[in-house]
Amino acid sequence: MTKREITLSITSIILITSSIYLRFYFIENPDRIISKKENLEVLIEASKKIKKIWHEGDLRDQLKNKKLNCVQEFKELGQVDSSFLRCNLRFLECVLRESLDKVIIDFPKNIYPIKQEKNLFTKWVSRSTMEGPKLPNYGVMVNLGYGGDSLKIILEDSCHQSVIPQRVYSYGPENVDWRWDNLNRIILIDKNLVTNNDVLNVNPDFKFRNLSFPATELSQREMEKFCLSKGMQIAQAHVFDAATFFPGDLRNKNPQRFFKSPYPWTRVKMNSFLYSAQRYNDFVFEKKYCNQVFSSECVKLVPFEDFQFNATSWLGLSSILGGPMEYMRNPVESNENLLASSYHYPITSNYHQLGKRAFWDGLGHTWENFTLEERPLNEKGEIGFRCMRVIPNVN
Amino acid sequence: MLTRYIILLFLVSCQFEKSLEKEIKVFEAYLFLNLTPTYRAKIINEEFINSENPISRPFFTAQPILEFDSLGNDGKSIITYCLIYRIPTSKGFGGWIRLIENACGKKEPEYIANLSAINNLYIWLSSNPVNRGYEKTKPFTLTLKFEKDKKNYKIEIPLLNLSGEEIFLKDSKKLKLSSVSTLRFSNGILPTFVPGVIFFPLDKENQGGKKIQMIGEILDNYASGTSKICHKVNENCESVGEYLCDQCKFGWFETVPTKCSLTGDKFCGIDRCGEKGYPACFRGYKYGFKQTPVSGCNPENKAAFCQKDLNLICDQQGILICD
Repeated sequence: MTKREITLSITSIILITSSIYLRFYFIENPDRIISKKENLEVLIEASKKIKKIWHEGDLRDQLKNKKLNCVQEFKELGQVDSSFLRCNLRFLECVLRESLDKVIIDFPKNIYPIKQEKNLFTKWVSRSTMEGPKLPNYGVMVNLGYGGDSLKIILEDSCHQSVIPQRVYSYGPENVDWRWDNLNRIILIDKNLVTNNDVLNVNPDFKFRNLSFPATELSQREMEKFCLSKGMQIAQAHVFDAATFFPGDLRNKNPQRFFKSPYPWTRVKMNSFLYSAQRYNDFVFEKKYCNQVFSSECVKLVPFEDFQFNATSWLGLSSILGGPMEYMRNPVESNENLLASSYHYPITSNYHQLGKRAFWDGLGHTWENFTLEERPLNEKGEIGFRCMRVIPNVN
Repeated sequence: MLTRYIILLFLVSCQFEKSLEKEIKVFEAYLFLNLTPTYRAKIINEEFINSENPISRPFFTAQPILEFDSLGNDGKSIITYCLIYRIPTSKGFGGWIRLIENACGKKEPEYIANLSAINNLYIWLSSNPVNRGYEKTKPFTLTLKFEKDKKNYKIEIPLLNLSGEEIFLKDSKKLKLSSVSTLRFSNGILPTFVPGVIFFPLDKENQGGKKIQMIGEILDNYASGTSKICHKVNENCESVGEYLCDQCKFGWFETVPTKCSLTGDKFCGIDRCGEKGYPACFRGYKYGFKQTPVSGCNPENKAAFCQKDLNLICDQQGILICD
């Protein structure tokens, strides 16, 4: 090999190496790619922290201790159960806004929330409001920024629903044993009655006074539309019964006999104050009963907020007996679509028991729209509702 | 003159070593940025995944390993990627791994990420931690372990939107079983890398991808014939076509199983089961004391029920409805 050939070959090696170097460093800008990856890692960690706040709500009592100023979101938020602030868009909005100039979230430095529509940091989304292959039924979108990059996430609302365990259940009042099962099917039902806050998330045009209260003025069609907008359906009567009648032995999925107590908190109905109230003339009402049944006597005695998210069934459903009436679709008996137990009746009413239903035509709230056995108090019926959905166990 | 060339060569080789480390970092970053929003992973070749041994045969052939459906374009579309490995020769020559933006088996465009001169590649992906000797991999994480220039490397990419039922063999028609917990007090959230959070891609506003069409309108209902079918099953309990109920704008409902005992056809829209003109409701499998047979589209099917005073009939679509 001549000296010239050696020089040529070395020069070509240098040229090739330089071209590789140039490609990596200038054309594809690897430093920027690596820094984007590192930014994404930081943003993923920050997302975990946002998710924690979304799920926990005000676990650290920051609202109660006035470290958070959420007047903008909750003008009249008085005493309310902490579960109301879990998976709550307005609470998260407040936390994100306040985190701009206070240490509310222990974010890595320089992470910041980015405003989306209507000058807000959060945006309610569902499959009915946006398109995409992997959207949850509904949730809240948050956009986080860091180092010139931004990451959008959707936080799924998983705080307010219960899975109905797979087993055989019995529908109807205590003396009826109509059986069905949800084996191989995953059914979720709302733990709480749909609140004004929930309805405002879906339809901001409604005007409500108290956000944490159940939405009780909707028509049947509006209730249906609300649930559908969240990819859900109106709760069905037999599913509601499954979630409220205490099933006895939880290990036995298909019991020979069902001992159905009409009161969700006990298996022995005769020990319950309601049993006495409905039978004995010398029954004396006590304020403490309002913790379990919010009857007409309770309206002037205790705040409804104390009851609304409490008095839970074996599956965590709240506000079962008393409170507003509750509409549910009944696929077994069309004329039994209303759990009439409510603050429209005194504690002595026979309506205060599970499985006992009345009928609502769904069109209005005057008593003409109802078929009831007992005459209610108040001028018109206040009716709450909850939604349910099925997750396919096989698809 | 020659000394100068030697010094120059030495400097180039140092730079090469540095760029080798960087090459791996860049490859990892490309995988990370493109694959983290993955929500579905199709295994093309089962024997290459979660194996105890490195992928070694057939020599010198490019093998598609995994296909990923990832969120693109602000989460609104699907981008499909294929991970391809060219298995090196028995002497460890000629191995590379590439990520391309297309389905596996389709025409290969220019790769998005490439790493050449590698061998002894292991690929792990599972919804549960995989134990292989002293190695334990993380769930919902694509793990690549390989050798390059006689050094071992490991790359871990979290697939943030992936759930257990979305890891499956490509072209499988088997019905998928939901991984949601059904225990008392469970909340219906799928186990994923960060359960309950959907991650969009980082800054991908201008990227393309297959657009998703959401299905249904709020007034659609079965009785008026406007409900759109979103999942169909056949007598062999296989999916006929794709499962599209995740794209229903206003929920969906399942009809009484008549062809396959595991599930019935599903439609987008309002569920008014049991009412006149609507599909019958499903009463279950075992609500009696004995196993209840699910017996076809006929009024004798004990798994179906309607509201009082209505009768079961089989309609033209093979769905049990109430009349």
